[in-house]
Amino acid sequence: MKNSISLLRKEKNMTQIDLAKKVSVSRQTIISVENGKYNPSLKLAYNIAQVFNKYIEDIFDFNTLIENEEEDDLI
Amino acid sequence: MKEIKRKFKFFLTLCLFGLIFLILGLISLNSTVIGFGVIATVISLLKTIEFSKLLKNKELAKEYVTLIHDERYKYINMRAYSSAFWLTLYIEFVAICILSLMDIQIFAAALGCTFSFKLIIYLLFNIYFSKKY
Repeated sequence: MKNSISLLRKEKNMTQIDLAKKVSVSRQTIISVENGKYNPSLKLAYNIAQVFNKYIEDIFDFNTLIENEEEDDLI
Repeated sequence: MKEIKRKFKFFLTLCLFGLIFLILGLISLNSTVIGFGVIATVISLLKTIEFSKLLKNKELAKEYVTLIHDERYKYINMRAYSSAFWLTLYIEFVAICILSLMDIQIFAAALGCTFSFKLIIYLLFNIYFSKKY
């Protein structure tokens, strides 16, 4: 799922470790979420959104998630 | 911190049991008991040292707790368990077919029992979780 975490993080001069500590996950999880390899739980998505004072849908592009799921179904 | 203390106590107890097994094995000269004692002692001793280090260093302890509660880590674990379960089922099924064709009925029946047992447990859990969620 595409997201703008990396952009928002850079805007706030925040490292991946800083964000990971704020949302109580490992740095590897943040890397995977940023790269779109791992889809976060609702709780993690909410926590990330809270850090940037945004809504979940402002950060995560749910349309790409639906597209990917449809592609997976076809395979 | 509670979790680390609990694990530290568990491995310390296991280490003591391992030592008891090792001593009993050496007295009775039983290689199986000695082997079990050595493995239990070495593994639990290493784990006890690891957790004692974590108990001393709060930063490290925090990192450890974050890592074991990390949702991606849990997700990977669950996927690995699930994949391993299904792969073993497929392998068992193939093995049962081959053993039956080779007319090795005893092994085929034994493997068939574990295969059926796994499937039944899976179905029971499936029903349980379907009702729960």
